[in-house]
Amino acid sequence: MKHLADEEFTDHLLGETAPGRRKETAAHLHACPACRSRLAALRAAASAVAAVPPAPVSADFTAKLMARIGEGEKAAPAEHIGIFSWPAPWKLVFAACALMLFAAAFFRPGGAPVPATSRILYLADGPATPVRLAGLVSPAQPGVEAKSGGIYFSDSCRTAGCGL
Amino acid sequence: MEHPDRKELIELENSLISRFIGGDAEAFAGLVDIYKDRVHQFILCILGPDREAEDIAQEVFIQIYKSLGAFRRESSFGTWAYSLTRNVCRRRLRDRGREAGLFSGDDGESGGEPRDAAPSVEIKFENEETGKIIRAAVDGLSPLHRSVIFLSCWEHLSYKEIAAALDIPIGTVRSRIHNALAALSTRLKPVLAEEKQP
Repeated sequence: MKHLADEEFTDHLLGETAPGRRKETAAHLHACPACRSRLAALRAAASAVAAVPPAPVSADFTAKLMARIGEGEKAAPAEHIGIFSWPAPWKLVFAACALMLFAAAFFRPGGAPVPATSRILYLADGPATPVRLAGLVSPAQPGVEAKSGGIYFSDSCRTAGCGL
Repeated sequence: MEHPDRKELIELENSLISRFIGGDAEAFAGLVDIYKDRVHQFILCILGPDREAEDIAQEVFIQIYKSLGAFRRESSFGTWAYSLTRNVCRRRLRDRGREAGLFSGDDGESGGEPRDAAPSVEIKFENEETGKIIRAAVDGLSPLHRSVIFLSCWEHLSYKEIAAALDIPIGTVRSRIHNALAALSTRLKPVLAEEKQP
């Protein structure tokens, strides 16, 4: 007779036996005194352990805890939630300096820095394409005005020396 | 299979959690009262006898207080609370420089059998209270064995819930519960035999 596997004892004891195995396990236990005896020993140990209450905490545990939570709640708003409260002085000084630097760069003579993207080759009536560029002979060609716009040359054009 | 006492407990927990989320801070004290001894016991299971166990339990409940609003109820509150307790204990062990693979499955034992630290023979001769003897026998198990025994025999959690709380596979839960109960059964044999006698 094949005995129950170790885990099958605890499965049975804790009500975790798979539904399809329950009848088979019960039938085996009914017929096998050795497995019944093992199961009884495990059940006795489990019952003995369950009968011992958990180690209690001190009587004022909850009161202490709630006081600690209360203190934390009081401290939290000033530290984390105070979006309308004044920030630290060093933060104000830092923010003012950053603002001044930005303003100086933006309003310097010549205006704001030209973004790199606007320096790509651009014709007066739209972006340059190889086909449109092929029709241009020189920048002085009639019809192609050098608007302060007109034609912009990109750095890559200059480097390649394309003649435009 | 759900233990009948657990069903009532879960209903009570859910009601207290709903009240807390609705702004009733007193409801949290109710949850603490239900779980304070259990969480404390679970900490003792993980760490062994520890003078700071109660302080760690306070830390666990503060964590629970902060995170309860985000508790999605995908598991029972107990499973979630024990999982959180395990994390706090692990952090505490790390801070103490004792990063132990408590719940990685090997828990410091090569063969998976509980370490034999509890006095099994002396039990017969020392005339202590049965409860103390049983507690000593449980203390003699490894942290993982103590934890699975606590969560299964005391807390009546299912294999699935224990696996979630301890972050270990269900197969490990099954084998560890069996190993721990077998060890306890051997150690407590004299006591349990005495109990049977009139």
